[in-house]
Amino acid sequence: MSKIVKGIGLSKAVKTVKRTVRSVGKVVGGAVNSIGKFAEKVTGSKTIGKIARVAAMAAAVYFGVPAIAGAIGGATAGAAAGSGFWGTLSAGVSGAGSGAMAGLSQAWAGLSGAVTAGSLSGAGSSLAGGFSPSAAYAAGQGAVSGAGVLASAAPGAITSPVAPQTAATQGSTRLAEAAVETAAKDAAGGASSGFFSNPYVAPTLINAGSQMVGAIGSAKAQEAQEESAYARRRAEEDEERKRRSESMGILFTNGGLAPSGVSSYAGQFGRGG
Amino acid sequence: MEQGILAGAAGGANEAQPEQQGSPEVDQAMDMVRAKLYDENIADGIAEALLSSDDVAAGVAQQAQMLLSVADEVSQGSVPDEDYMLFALELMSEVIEIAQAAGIEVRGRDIGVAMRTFITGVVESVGGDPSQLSAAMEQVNVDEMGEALDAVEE
Repeated sequence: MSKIVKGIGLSKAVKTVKRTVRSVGKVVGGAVNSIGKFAEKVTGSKTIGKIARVAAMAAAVYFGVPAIAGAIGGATAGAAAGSGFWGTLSAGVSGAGSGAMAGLSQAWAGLSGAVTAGSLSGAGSSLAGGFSPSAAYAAGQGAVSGAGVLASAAPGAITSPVAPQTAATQGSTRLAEAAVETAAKDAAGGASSGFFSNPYVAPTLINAGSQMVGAIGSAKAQEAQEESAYARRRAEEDEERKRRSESMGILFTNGGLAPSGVSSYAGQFGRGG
Repeated sequence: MEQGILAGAAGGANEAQPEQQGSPEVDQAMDMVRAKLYDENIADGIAEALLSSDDVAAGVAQQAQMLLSVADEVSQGSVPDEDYMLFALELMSEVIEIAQAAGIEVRGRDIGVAMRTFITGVVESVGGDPSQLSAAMEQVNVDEMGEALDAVEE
């Protein structure tokens, strides 16, 4: 079978497969959480095959999971933990991976509109710890998964209320809520003195916080609409699947029904290539 | 299975999965996919396509994405959205196993590049805009990553 025919077969098969409707936010948000846990578990396993471990490690890198890089480095032949490629990633210092990891965290956060609980506590600590813009920026860039949004928001909060609003509308609502809560608490004479008690700074933060709260409301309303539309699409698809199932029989158990001779394997799943 | 060019792939895959790692839904779907792949020689078709590809990484990514689409359909979307990427990752591993069983040398760099292409494709297939993510993934040095992956012990 020529490569060209195979190519045609595959692309045709792709068109014939009716894809399940999935929520990008849930897929991405779930992945950012689960891939790290999975990779950590797989990396430390003595019984999982090398391919599965290597694939999980590669995925962990692209999902911006620096926390497991140290463990991976330790499991790598000829490389001491903390050195080499993995060490660079886990340390979050200058080198091959640090800038990339920050960019990846931001990209995933932007796609999922979610941040991890760990990043929230990290953000809270940075804010409550005196809110050094450079420290918050560094935390966002290197140490905290998903807190890249904070990094872009934190310096902006000092000079302009627009940046936090942007961060909130990007979907990082929980982070924004935490920031608002912490900012409001500190501005009202709460945990920390210093930066937040500065009379010139506090009004700016409160103003920024108000705008963030508005943005959070909008984001939540939009999220609710998306959830509703998603549920409708799933229901429609379930209905159609049921209809097709009744008329065509169960595809999987009838596999091999219609080898197309064109597609390499899609037809053998019961879908004409 | 046990015939054709992938006589060893099923065994290798089974050895690689002696314990359940993912969610129950992912495990169930993977069992179904593996049965289909190896009991009905569908893996041979994938291997042929991989062998005919000039670019190992591109071939692996393309076959993994194709397999994901079909597997998701035949499993009737039973894998929850939250575990979909995990499912994708396991299928990717399966395709790499098939490639190696077919005699294709898959280097760490190939896996790094294939994973990048695959993730981009999966995000796009669920309706996400992968442009920012793609740019961020490009920042990872795949040569260094490949060396590091090649150094992983058996």
